[in-house]
Amino acid sequence: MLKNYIKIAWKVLLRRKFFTFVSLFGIVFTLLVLMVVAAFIDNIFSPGKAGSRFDRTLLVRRIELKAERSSIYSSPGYYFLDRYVRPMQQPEMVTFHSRTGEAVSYVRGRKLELSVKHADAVFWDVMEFDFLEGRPYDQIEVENADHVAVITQRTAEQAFGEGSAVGELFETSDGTFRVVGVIPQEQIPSEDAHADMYVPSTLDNFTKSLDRLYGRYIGYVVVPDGVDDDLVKQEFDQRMEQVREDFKGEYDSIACLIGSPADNAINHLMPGRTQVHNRSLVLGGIVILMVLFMLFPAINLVNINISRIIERSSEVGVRRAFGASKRALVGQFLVENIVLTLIGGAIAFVLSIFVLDAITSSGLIPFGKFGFNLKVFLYAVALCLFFGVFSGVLPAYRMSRLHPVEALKGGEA
Amino acid sequence: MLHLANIEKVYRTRTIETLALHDINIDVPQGAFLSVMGPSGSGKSTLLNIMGLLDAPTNGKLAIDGKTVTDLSDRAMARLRNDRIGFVFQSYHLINDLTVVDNVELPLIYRRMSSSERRSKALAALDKVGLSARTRHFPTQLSGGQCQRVAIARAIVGEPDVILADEPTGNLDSAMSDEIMDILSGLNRNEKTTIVMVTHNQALAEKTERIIRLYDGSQVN
Repeated sequence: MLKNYIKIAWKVLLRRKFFTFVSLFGIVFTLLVLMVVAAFIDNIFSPGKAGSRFDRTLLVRRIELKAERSSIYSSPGYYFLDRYVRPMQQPEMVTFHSRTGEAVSYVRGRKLELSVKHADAVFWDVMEFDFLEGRPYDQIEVENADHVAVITQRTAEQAFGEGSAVGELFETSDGTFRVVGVIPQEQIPSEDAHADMYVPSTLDNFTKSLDRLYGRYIGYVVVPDGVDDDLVKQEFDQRMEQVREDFKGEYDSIACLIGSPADNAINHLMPGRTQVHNRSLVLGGIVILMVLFMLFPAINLVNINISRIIERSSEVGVRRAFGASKRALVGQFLVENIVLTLIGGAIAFVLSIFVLDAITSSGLIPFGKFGFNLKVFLYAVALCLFFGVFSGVLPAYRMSRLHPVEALKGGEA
Repeated sequence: MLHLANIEKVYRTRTIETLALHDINIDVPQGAFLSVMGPSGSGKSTLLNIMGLLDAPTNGKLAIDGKTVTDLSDRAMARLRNDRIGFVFQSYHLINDLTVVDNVELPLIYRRMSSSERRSKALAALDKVGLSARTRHFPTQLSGGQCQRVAIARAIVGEPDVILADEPTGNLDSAMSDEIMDILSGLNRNEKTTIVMVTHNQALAEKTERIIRLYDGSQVN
């Protein structure tokens, strides 16, 4: 029976080209937008390499300090991270790196603008980059404040051309550095961690002068494999109590969030910047918005389908006369809709690969990598099916209520 | 085979009640060829729809082979229509999206049957009505007479016991009408298929074994 339904659906779609085009256009456009949105969400909530330490990393990237006459919302300072976060017992690793600074280099008469990050040696253990050449700088080089640098492949190409960059001296406005390693920029998992050049944190003069509780550093805290995030968060909260105690006279309140990249992304969107938001609630909100977004074209499609069924009421009457039960007819019309939606889904799927690729290569969203992956594909399939069933159920129900005699006369339900 | 006892059909709206059929009592024996005549609005099509389980009587009883069928479920009625009844309509009611052979296969879709068996039965039915050469055409590419022959092929493909034909020649010229009548007579004679045909055409009605006349929803003799 199902095979027949699919065969009939195919024939109907081929014969009714205008209707098929209008429906497909609506489905493809909506699904295309949804797939791109799904890829964006996927990029925000799980940007790391699967199975890497970054997936188990909690971020400390914002601190909020309130005094009687002032309020500061900033990145944490090196001192705060070094004094209160680094000594934590639960984490597998703790690393800090600065927000990016700017430097300039002149290569063969051409100005090269660089983003520079100061990071410790543990940063490389957390990131687990596949070095294209060379190596990361080590703890001794950091302690010695050696002028060494790790640069991205793009920077290496711009500064040194096609040849090897390792061992070369790189003159910049921040000083001259010996390149020790080159990394692929595609592997940098987030905007936070991105820079063209990484140098030892001990070379950061800013750290030593102004940095206290707030400053320009970001902390990455790696939760050991198999350990609950909450244990680490509890320990962090205890440390924060200590901070409040130590700075009692200076600030009325001190708040700092430790959370996954997703928690941080949510915090960016929501009010209460250092509060912990319920992640599933926010995700639920996003899903509801997506469903609402889908409702408009779906309602349109329901309308088209109802008119189409009224147009085909004679067929409904004939099928009823020759032995189709109401249930069989509902099945047939649902299959027709689902087939149409899946075809639309397949077209949207192919188109979205091109669109996502274009967005990624345009550089419109810095550090965004919107490649198609299995998860996004599954979102798309689920969306297609929801769309197909939703836009088919009501028309199919109306159709099943058509009286056979009235249907043969071309009447309405 | 078909037994209608005290059939009454009333159409009700909020303000008007219309008596479409009143006290109809008909016996249709197996293998009979009956025609139903009467002026427009006399209830001919309503009677045929009730016989074909497409409409339910307001009162009275319809039995097929002694079994009352008026209180069956939607699914059971659908099964009964599929197994035992074939329909031919005045305006053919072919599905324009499907080819001739796919139209003829339609009743068999609702049976457990392989697609090859379905196809061979449909081709055989088309052969019986002389349309073997038009199997891949679409209904819009056929003449009225050819369309009605396709409709007859569709009605007989499931080998029903009874064919209910609602003015099958109403849209055709006299030559075509004769052709269609010959096909129906042949089916009745050779296959022993019971046929009940609604018609306005006295000459065609006289070719059948018995004429049932309706006037204002009542049976007159």
